[in-house]
Amino acid sequence: MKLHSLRLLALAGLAFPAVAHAADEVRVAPAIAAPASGKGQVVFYRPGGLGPLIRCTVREDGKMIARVGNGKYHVMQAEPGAHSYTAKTEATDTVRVEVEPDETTYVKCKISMGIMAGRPNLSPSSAEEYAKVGKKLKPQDPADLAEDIAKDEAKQAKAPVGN
Amino acid sequence: MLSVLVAALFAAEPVVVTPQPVVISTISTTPTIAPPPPAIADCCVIKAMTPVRLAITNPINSNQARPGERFALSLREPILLDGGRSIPAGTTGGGEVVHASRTGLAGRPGELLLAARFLDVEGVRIPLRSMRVGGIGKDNSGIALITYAAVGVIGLVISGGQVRILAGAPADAKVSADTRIDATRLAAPAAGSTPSNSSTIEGNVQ
Repeated sequence: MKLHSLRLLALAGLAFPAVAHAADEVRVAPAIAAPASGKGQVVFYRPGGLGPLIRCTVREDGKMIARVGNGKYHVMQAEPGAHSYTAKTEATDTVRVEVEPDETTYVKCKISMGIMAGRPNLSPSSAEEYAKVGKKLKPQDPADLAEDIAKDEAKQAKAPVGN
Repeated sequence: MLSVLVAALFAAEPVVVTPQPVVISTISTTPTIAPPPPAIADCCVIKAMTPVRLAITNPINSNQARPGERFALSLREPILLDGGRSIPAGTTGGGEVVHASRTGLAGRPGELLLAARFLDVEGVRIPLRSMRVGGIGKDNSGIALITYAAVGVIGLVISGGQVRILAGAPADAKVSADTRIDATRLAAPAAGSTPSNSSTIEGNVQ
């Protein structure tokens, strides 16, 4: 009986530091590396929320440049200057941002309530907001994204001019 | 005897040295060098990335602003330069609304993003960058969704919050390119003022 109690105590002793360690662990948003010198970059991210199955497809001048699923982020190099990004489901939303050289610009995509499908909402964000909500974010798989962009380009090429 | 007489003669007359005019020949074989311009006329270059503390002059809100609209800025704190000269607080400038979106149905918040463009120092424009002012208003989409689930379509009518920038709101920016300013356009040093290293914002000057 005594031996059994000691074993239990030893197990508890082994387990307790693990629990304490887990409690100490602080999750932080994935770090974003600085852009290439003279260039800017945009981080598109999609925190959780409504419409988890809807991916946020971001376009510039009609061309698909990013697609972020629920809980994902994507970093894209961009030329400094004004940029206008759109996302579309049953409605289209546009956000204009100013990309500065050697700086990172953040754009958040949320899906809000719609009639048939969720409506995308692209909005300007900040490093602080990204750090706050980005703890559970994971990078969008670049291979998946490249494949999606290639498919979209092929689809656009087939589409009649003017559409 | 003769030497004594000569010595006596010279001792009696005071020696007067009169300045002789120096004649400089006008014909010269070497090129003439123009005198350097006065150093004060063109003294200061405000370097790129110098921090600038601004204030937004008039209130702006996301429901009324339109992308591309200009708005007024002013310098909140002086930028002190070499020799005690400064760009004074109150110097005016301009910014631009980069993005504005009105509040919408189903709790959608307003959005606003402003950028600083320039400071105007007596006609010389100092280009600005890196101003981060704006954001999104209160997101009421959660409340709208709950209301929709409980009472139906009324939930869709709930709108989100606006972004309101108050008059005098502080904003920080940076100079985006090296800019040369004549010293004559800058505020003169105050009596007893110390050079730039005692300033609230030190101009990054050459």
